[in-house]
Amino acid sequence: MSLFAVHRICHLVQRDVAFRDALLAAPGDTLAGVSDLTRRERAALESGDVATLYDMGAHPLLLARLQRYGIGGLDQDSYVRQIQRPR
Amino acid sequence: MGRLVFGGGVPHTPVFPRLVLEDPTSEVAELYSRVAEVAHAARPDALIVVAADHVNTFFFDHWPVFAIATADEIEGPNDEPGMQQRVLPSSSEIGSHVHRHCLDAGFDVSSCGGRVGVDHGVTVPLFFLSLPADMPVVPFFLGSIVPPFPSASRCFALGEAVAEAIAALPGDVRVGVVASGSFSLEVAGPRSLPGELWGVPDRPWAERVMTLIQERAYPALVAEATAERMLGAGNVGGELLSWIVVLGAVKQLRLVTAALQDGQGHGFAAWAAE
Repeated sequence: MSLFAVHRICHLVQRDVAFRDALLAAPGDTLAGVSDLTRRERAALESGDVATLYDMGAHPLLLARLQRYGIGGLDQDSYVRQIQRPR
Repeated sequence: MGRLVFGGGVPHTPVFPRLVLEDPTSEVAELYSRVAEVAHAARPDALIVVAADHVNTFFFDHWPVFAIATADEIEGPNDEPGMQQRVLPSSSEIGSHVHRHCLDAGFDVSSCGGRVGVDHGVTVPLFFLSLPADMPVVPFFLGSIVPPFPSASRCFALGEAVAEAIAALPGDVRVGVVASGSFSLEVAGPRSLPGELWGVPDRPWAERVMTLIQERAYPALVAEATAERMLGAGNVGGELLSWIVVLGAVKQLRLVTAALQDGQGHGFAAWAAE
């Protein structure tokens, strides 16, 4: 898996406004340009599937940045529902 | 020679500055003010803030275990878009001196030059300590948010080395050291409170930590603060290591105040030399 790339995207969402705007406007095209993501990671990022990313080992401190900026349609409620679902 | 005149330990909850501005009589305001009073009475010329970077100043392309700013300016917070970014004075002289001393003492600390970005872990304590705006602030970063962590014994010894470095500073400079962080805290993880992005998974651990600090039982705290124990208290439980660095630094100082906030996983403490 390429957890580094997932974390990098979460990091850029907060730090790079142009990247964040591109990810919000055209998530599929923007993520397609990140070559070291696996297909599963790309799909999870695009759909806001943070439960899968968490289960893959992504750190919540970084994942939370996705809901902060509405990436993948996430907001606090949908983020919390996924992260707190029984495992 | 330099003097370590003040030690502090506080949390850095990002919403606290806004809450206290809205309600200056809140418990949070009172707890921070106890620490700030000790800081003001100590009249430090410079402050070293020990804080875990929340993957803001650094990323995993370079993730230092220990790093110190050797710069004349810092800027932050670099992770709170709603807050105004401020440039604050730092001290390349003090940062470089402590850096060199730590290397000589066997701690392979990274150095950060230029205008060093800092996150809320540094800016929130500064907001509440309300020290003079022209006082240099030297951030000392720990890689203790994402495991693997440095050991507690290594962090305590690092604090001792920082105290020695301060004592070896040229001139009559008075320095304070502040720890920033919680003992039990989950951020945005499964053990957050229902519907919330935070939680306190292990209040008994926070109480245990505070008791050991009040009793100055530092060897016991160092022995108990394993990575497994700290992470069991929350996914940012490694922030305790910032406190353990400061405990190593202030072991000769007098404990003035130390208390947990009701229902929370964080504490407030202050030490003074006089």
